[in-house]
Amino acid sequence: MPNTFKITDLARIGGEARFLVYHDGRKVIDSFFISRAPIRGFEKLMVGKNPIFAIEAAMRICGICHAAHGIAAVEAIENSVGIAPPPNGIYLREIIGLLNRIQSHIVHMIFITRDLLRENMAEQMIRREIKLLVDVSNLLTRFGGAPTHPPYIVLGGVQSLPKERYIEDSNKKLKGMRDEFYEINNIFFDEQYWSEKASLLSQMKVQVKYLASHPFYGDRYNINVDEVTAIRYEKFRRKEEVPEDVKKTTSLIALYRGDIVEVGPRARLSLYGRFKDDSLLGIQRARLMEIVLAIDRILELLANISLTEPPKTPTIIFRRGVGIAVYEAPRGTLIHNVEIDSEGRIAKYRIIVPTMFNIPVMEKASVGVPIECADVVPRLYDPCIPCSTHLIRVNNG
Amino acid sequence: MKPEILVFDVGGCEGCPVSILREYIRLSQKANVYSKHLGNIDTSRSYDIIIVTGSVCINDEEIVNTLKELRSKAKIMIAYGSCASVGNITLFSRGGQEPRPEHRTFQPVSAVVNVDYAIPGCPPAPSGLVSLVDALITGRGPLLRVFSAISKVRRLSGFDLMDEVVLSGLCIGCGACIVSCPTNALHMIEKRPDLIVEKCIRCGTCCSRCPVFTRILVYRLNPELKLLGGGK
Repeated sequence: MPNTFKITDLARIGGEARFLVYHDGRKVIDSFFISRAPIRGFEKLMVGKNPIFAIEAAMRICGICHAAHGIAAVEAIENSVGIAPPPNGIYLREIIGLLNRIQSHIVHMIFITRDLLRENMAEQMIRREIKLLVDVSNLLTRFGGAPTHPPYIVLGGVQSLPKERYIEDSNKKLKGMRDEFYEINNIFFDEQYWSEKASLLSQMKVQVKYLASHPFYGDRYNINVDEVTAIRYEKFRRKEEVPEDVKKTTSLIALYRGDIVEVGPRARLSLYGRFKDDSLLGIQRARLMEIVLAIDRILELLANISLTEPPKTPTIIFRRGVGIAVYEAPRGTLIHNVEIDSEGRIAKYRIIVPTMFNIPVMEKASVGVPIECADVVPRLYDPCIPCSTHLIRVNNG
Repeated sequence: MKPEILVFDVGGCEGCPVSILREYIRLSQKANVYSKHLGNIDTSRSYDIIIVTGSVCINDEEIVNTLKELRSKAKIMIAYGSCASVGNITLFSRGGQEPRPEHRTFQPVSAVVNVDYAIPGCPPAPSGLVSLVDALITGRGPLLRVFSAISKVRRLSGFDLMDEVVLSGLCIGCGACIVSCPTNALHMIEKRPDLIVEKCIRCGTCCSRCPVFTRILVYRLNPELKLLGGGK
């Protein structure tokens, strides 16, 4: 291990983290991603509680991908007690989840714009992105009940149907947003507007396997959850000397079939579409494309909602059971696993979050990158630290 | 000259700082804003206002020390959001989770340092923060006394609302608590709010919106107001 290293407090990401980079003066030789956010311990916090409380708690794991955790929690609990929402509930949940995906991708765009666009373009673009963030948050308030931690995500479906005039108006607003995103994508994909860092990163490649369960929602039958392993950092890097700072990390690492896998927009579009771009900028390209695809999908779903049918199932009886949910959160595959005891309370709760899969990918992707671009690599993967600190060991790996 | 504002998260879900981002354009017209999300953070200098989000893990020495240092650099400190103001759902944390099982106790910011104003909400409507900053500059506004009083209490929840207002017969049935509850834990029955206890996450938003409860708090605590420019 070379002794020249640099520690960067990562700014413009969701949460507190550091990136420790070993380099030869020019390029990165090795790197370590260190989460610094304290562990609020949601899986332990939920034990003994009513499942209704657990849903509210799960949604508060993260303030960026809140709806993703909410949907994963209700799906896992519904799976454990054997209930399913009516069609309206399923459509509305998917709409809420996709609005959250767009919201999260826009927040990430605000973070990454200064890295990827020329300085004279960046400030103006960020203001445009903030306006879009406000617009999509307003839509989420209509369909989910709030712009953050949407309370309409409930067991058995969705709390209430949107008003008819909201559906019509949302259609118009979404089409307007789609046009705006086409324009923004054209700017982001046009090399003449790129910063020097963006040009450098577009030439770097990363080759890893992908993992995704669904292009828009999530499907527990499309991956084998038993083959997901979560391990401590020291164990993941056991062959090497792990620096002392890294031992303080508050995240674990997730692997699939023992391998490093990338999850998130590029994985979804590659496995369920024909997307091909393994450059470091490819994940950003996929993220921007996903926003437009998500809007198209929401427009489709809005047309399916029947205002005369209920949005949730009327009968919910808690009983002993085990349930699992696999959901495609903005950053990738999210797994919630719940066990309910004979009194209808939470006996065990386990969560695997996408950032845990992506930490080793970020570290691998940074090797060979010029040191002045090193901090952009984790930012491209949009790590979410509040999520990643809420994970307990699933298999001993 | 515009006041200098730092937004700093000590370990929450990031929902509060992201909500502030939504009001960045309006806020930046009134103040110079610095935050990790904007990439211009500098914790070595002083600020007119430091807005803290997230609750404090008192088992993490580094975070506790950072918070104390921030307090020494702030003329005014605002706890923004329910975790920072009254602990919120993190009060239920009990530790024992890998890889840092020693992270056992989370408390509101006021448990570690003196806070001047607290805005509960999960997250609060960021427009309230813009109004508070306005009020701090002008020295006028109904929010100052309320948010100052809330900064002196460490716990607020739907249970307090029920005990102090509804069960005491003081409720006027305005419904502000029901509209404000971020988990829909309150519903109106016969013009009186009722609490669905398993949905209450101890965020205290209902109490901070209740016209009766806020008057009780202001009367009981008689808070001193710290303003920009004019000191106290």
